[in-house]
Amino acid sequence: MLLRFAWRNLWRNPRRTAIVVVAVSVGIAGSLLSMGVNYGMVDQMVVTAIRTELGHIQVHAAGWEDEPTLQKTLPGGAATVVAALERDPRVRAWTRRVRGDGLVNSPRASAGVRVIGVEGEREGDVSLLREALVAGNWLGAAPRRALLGESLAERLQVELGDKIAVSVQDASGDLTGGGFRVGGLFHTPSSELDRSTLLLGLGEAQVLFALGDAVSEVVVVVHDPDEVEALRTSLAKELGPQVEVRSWAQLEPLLVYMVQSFDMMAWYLYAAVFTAMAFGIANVLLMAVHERTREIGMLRAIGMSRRRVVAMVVLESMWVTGVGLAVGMAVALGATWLLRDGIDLSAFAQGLAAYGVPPRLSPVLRARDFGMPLVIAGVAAGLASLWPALHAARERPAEALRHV
Amino acid sequence: MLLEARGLRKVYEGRGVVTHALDGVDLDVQEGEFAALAGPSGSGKTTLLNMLGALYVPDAGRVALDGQAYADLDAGQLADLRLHKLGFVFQAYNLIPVFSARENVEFVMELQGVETQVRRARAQPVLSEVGLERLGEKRPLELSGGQQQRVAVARAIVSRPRLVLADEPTANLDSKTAGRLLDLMGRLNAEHGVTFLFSTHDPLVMEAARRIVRLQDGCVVADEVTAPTAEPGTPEGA
Amino acid sequence: MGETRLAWRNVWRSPRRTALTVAATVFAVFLVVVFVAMTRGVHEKMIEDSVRLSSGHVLVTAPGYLQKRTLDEFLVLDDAAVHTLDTLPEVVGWAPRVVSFVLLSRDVTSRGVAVMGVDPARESTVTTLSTRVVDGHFIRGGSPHEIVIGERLAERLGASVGDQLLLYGVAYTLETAYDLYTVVGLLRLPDARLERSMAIVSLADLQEFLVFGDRISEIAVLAESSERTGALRDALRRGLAMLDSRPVFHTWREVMPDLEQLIVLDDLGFYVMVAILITVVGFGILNTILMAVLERQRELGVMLAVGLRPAAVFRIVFLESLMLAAVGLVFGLVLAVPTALWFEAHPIHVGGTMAATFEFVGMEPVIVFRLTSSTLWKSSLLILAVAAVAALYPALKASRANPVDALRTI
Repeated sequence: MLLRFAWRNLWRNPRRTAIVVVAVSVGIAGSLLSMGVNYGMVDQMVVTAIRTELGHIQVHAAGWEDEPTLQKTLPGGAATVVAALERDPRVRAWTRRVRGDGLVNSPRASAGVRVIGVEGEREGDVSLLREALVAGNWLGAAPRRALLGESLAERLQVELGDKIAVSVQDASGDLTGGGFRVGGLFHTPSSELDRSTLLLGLGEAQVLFALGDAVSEVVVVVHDPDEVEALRTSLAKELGPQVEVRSWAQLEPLLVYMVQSFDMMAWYLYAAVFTAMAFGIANVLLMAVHERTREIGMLRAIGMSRRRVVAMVVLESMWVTGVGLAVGMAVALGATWLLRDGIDLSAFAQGLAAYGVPPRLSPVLRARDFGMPLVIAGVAAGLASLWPALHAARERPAEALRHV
Repeated sequence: MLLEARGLRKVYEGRGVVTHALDGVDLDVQEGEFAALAGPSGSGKTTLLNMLGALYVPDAGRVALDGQAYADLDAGQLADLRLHKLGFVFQAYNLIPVFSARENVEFVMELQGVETQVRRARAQPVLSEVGLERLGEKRPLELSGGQQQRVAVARAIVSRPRLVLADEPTANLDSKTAGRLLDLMGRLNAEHGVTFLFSTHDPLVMEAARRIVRLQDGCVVADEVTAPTAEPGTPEGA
Repeated sequence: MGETRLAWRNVWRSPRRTALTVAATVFAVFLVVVFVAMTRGVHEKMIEDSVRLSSGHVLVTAPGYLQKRTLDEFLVLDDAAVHTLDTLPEVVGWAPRVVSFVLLSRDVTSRGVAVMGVDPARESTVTTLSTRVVDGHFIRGGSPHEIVIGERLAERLGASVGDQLLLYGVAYTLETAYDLYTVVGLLRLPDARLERSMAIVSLADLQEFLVFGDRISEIAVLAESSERTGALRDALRRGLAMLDSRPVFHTWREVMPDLEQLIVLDDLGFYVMVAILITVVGFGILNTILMAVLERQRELGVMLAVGLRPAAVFRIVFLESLMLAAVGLVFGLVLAVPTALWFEAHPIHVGGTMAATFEFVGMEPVIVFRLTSSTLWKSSLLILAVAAVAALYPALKASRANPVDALRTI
């Protein structure tokens, strides 16, 4: 009954209530959308990281995370690992890689690079490197071909078909190298990757680094991202202590930290916006209550307790905030849907690419993102209503009735 | 005895001036009475009515309803008492503007926690009783002054209180409408035994009352049972 | 003026209502000023840190160097140029360098890194690299074949101070070059990526290693502050002539476009928050003024009937709104300015995962504040502007009131 009473009280002065509703909706829609863009950005960073190199899970020889040297390898083509992966239905695809460092020289320039040997077919199923090809052919078509990031090729001033020399220190410590031709150029959302990575065929990389049939890592992608941790634990148990099984979150904890820091930022944003809003709500409620002094006196006289009067005012605050929240959230969702093709941020392309974010960004809002503003709004509305509510109930009925 | 009051005092002190709003008032009210507290403004009649209605705490003296002393109850319990045992009709601001007439009548029952069906069942006949059976869905602003006061009366009696306290209920009405309102209350008193206690300086009310307690400067100066000057239901005056 | 006095008195007719609206304004002003001071301080520090770790405010290079970064794009420093650089007043410090990519190797581990040959004395006038040595010491001009590397790089190579590393690269003459260097110091930098790939040797050593002669790759020049970057570049353009080269002068913005973009992006996000906050407060002011106007219908009606012009009524209501905002502004500034100044003197040190995100972006985990007068008057203008906009509808309504209708209101 108090709910109904409070609701109707709101609409005694529709314009005043409408202004408050609009203020609340603007506050929440704006905040939700900003956070949506931020979360969209982090999402992109995570997606890029996973799809370019990390995958969902990586398997290395034990101790690799602390000391990622060339010598820490999985022997025999990581056969046991592969077998375990093939048995597990949660695994969507897997691939093997060789990782090392080297120097790449062209006739005109040189650059320090990471040399990654990839399995031509499998790599395409796991990462987006194959799709990122903008010129030339993927690996496997012809021998002694290397794939370069577009910006790396620019730095070295080479084009498709040009010769390059790759110098490395192999597994036994000898300085060695090989000649390759530029077989293709790729462009990924990560400028870091494009600038510093050279791709070779797995077999040729194994020869270059004198690894025999050993590989540096096995990369796995799953069907359902929520199963990553479960799969990781079962794999780790199955494969034993000679290998390390790590999820992407463990390999790049910074991505997780970024989400956490955005969560904190969201908290501050909502707290600030809703505090400002609380003043406005308190003001309106105070005015409304003041106008109803005599009526409240009458209500108390006929037997409405102080507590109920307080509850009624608090409910009015909750109602107006609730309506504002509903409208604001609807607007935010609508805007997110409208912007689903992404906001054009090409003016910031380079800055974004440094973190693996493509220049078209869509805001992302999930169910959990609505929880925080709801709670904070509720608390703010409650606090805002305290003074007006206590003010409403403070007078004795007889005095309130006589109010002029 | 329905209502007993002994030695009621209320003193106001303001800027060095001491006013005795009530100066030792004794009063007994029996069930079925149709009585008025009369007197000029400042005589203390409203103060007395508010004390009897558990809206004011006296500086001295005691009030008891059905033997229950008000002084023994805390503020919350007094509110409960007002809710269940008393009915109020004020001069104005009786009704909640955002509720319909029917919802206003049901309001007290809602506060009491009565279920919806029972509330409905009780409100409708009371609305008919006050002659507003077809205006139940109207909001107070859509009703005339007299109709609003009738709704107030309906609300005051619907939960069958022990006593209805009416503070200048006719003050804002023209004499014809006032007369009809008084007839209504008289009928409720005669046919249903509802006890009414008015505070008034309206001669119409005083004529309708069967007992007049006159107050002056905070004291009872007269307490007369008047012979009923008219049959209940007959309009008095023009 | 009578209007002003009337407006002022009207503001205080309902002290509680005014107080609440003022409180909201104070809150908003406080937040905005303190947070602008914070973002400004943080951004300036980002720029300063980056600039003082790498390119300086202006980087002087041969044409095409930024894109290609090969040894073919070189400069030659003649005595006249040195003299100019030493004497130009805009130049706070300058450092010549040679930059190339080599394979750095220890035992069986190697890494491709960018090696920088520096003049230790001059380098300290531009970068803070020499102060970031955590083990050992920085390059000293005298001893040959010294190398300083990032701590993280050392970890990857399994090297420590005193160990020998092999440098392997391609010289200017296109021959392979290799030589042994001794690690004399380890660097700790706020930018982890930089630390993992940085190696420093002496200018002379690198010139010899690459058979570069007396050529250099770049000159980093430091200005008095990032605001004076433009002035520095102009001064260099006018004053610095190098006979055998055609130098190009890049500002740090051109050298690190991602840094600038990130700062702008960050600012954008912040402006959005300010906009939301101010809008909410604006609605609060709107409601307050509107209610005040509606309550005074009769009074306004009387005033208009008696002959007060609608324009004057408009002005009075408008002024009320501005005054309301002004009171909030004053109190807000009174709270905000000392707070921001206190933080300016006591930067916040961040820890935990927050610190990790800072380092990820290449920043020291400190939040620095910087309050400028432009912040203060811009915030003031903003609040007053919002109050002005919020007042439009109520003021219009008040001035359009029909005296007869208003007087009929009971």
